[in-house]
Amino acid sequence: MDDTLLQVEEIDFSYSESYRALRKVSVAFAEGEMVAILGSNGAGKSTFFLCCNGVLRPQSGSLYYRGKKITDKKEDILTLRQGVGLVFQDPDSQIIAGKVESEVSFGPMNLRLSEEEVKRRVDEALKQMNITQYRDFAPQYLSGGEKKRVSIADILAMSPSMILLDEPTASLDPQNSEALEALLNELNRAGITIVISTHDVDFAYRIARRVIVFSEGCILADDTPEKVFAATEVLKQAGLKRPLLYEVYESLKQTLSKPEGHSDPDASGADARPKTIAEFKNYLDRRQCSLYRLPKDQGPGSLG
Amino acid sequence: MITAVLSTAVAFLLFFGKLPLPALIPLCIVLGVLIALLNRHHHDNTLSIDVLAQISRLNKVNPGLKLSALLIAMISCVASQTVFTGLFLLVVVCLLAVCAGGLSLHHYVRVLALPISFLMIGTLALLFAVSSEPLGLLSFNVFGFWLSVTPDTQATAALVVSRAMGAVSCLCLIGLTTPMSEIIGVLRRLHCPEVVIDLMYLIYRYLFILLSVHREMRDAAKSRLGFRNFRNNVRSTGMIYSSLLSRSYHFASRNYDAMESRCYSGGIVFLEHPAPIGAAQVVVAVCLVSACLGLCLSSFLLPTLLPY
Repeated sequence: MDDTLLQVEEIDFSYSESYRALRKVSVAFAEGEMVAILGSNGAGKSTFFLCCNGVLRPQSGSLYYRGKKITDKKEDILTLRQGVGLVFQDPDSQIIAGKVESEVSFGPMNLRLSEEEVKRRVDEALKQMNITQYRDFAPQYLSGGEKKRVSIADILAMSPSMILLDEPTASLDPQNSEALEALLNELNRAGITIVISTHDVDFAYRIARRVIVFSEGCILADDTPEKVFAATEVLKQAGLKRPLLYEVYESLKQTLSKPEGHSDPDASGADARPKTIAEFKNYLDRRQCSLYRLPKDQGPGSLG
Repeated sequence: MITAVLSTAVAFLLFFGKLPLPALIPLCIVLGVLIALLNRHHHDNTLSIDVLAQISRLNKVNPGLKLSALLIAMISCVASQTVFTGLFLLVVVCLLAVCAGGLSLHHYVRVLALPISFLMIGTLALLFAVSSEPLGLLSFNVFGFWLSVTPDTQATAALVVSRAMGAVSCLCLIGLTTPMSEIIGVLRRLHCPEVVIDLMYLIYRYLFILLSVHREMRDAAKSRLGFRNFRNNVRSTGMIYSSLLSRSYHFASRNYDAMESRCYSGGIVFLEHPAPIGAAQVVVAVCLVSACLGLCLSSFLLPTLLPY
């Protein structure tokens, strides 16, 4: 695998003797991927991210960044931290400067870049996150959504090849979280590998092309969203639910295909699965029914 | 309100015997009412100075120039032997803050009110001489002693109060027009030790986080009747502060992780490009500094021309 960006091999991490946060976790991320990491609270997602970024050193196992093993040497760790950016869940634990512009410049300044280069990167990151108008603001006067953008700009300014986001939508309102989703898709199209930890299954279903399920420090499943959400046992063990649209689609598909007797034309490709409301409406249109005009004897009442 | 009453009393005693009573009394009352009116509306906003600094038009002035001009003005005001340096600064700084900085007079007076009320209490103490018999212009008998206002104490009090007001208004202008990050930037360029600078950045940032956490915890305690009576009050306050301490340790370690994850390896450095020095700024700064230095020097050279 040439395009493997980060490879994690059998890492173990414990905070104390009794609490093993990660047990023999092995996973690889390729360039340009969009991955969601699902798991309940305390499943080890945040610890995993801190290990991937080199803040926590796993007690055993190893990390490879672009095929190169990361040792305890300072240069190795700095390369890892530059290449794999980590956006913390709470922007307030990340933001340290008294001004947005200075805040974003912290990472590139630590990379010992020239002043012009730092300035160029800060400008670009602010522009990408749409916060150029706040550059002279103090972070304490920004809203939650704006602070989140600042914390992502912080990482973008270091021009990483991969960004880990810890619960990015946890404290955002629907509008901000929609905007964030669009931004993440845009970054991914620009070639940056995005890994998101979340317990919002609907969000993960919409955005990710690969889903990894964590439970009690182990990886339970690592597959396409369709396959992961089809695995009832895995979801039960990890304490997760199915995405709403997945459930609705499944029920609807069953009901709609029964009387016709022939095979479902959509069953061939997994891409046909509607993941957003718009796609879902399209799907209904293709099946010649609308949300309000289902075949009579199979009205919404018979779906459940 | 307290500031207004104190200022009225001090003004009355300062000018007692210098102005005829029928003119002095209405003047003092007008002064008191004016201060009371401008200083109305107290909000529970401890850090309003920071908010005002963020929106001030003068925060676009080069911070180095601003700080050095105001510091020189302040020093010459404190050193000077005449009340005029202080009065001049009081007026000019107020004009700068209000006209050039776009701050409302009401806000300016509110910010200045707190230091002024302390100042006025101190001045009252300076205005009275203690003696065994009545002296000077005005005397009160207190437990067998006499507290008297004499022309001498009036002169000293006037000099002290004018120096202090001038200096305090300079400090307020710095605070009201310069965001903290710019002040720290100037200190860095002055080669202040790195540890101090780093701590200043972090303290400034965490002040706001801890304040907001504290506000949240206080409200949560309030909503559970945590401040119902004195005993409860003491208990809740203690619990809030102890958990604030543990929260701040937690914040510190989280923050250190976040800094490390952005390649922090000792020494907080940000990109800084302070506002350029404009010609108009230089002219204003030079005028201000030379006027203050001039007043200060002439008070030493020509003591007879400038009273007090």
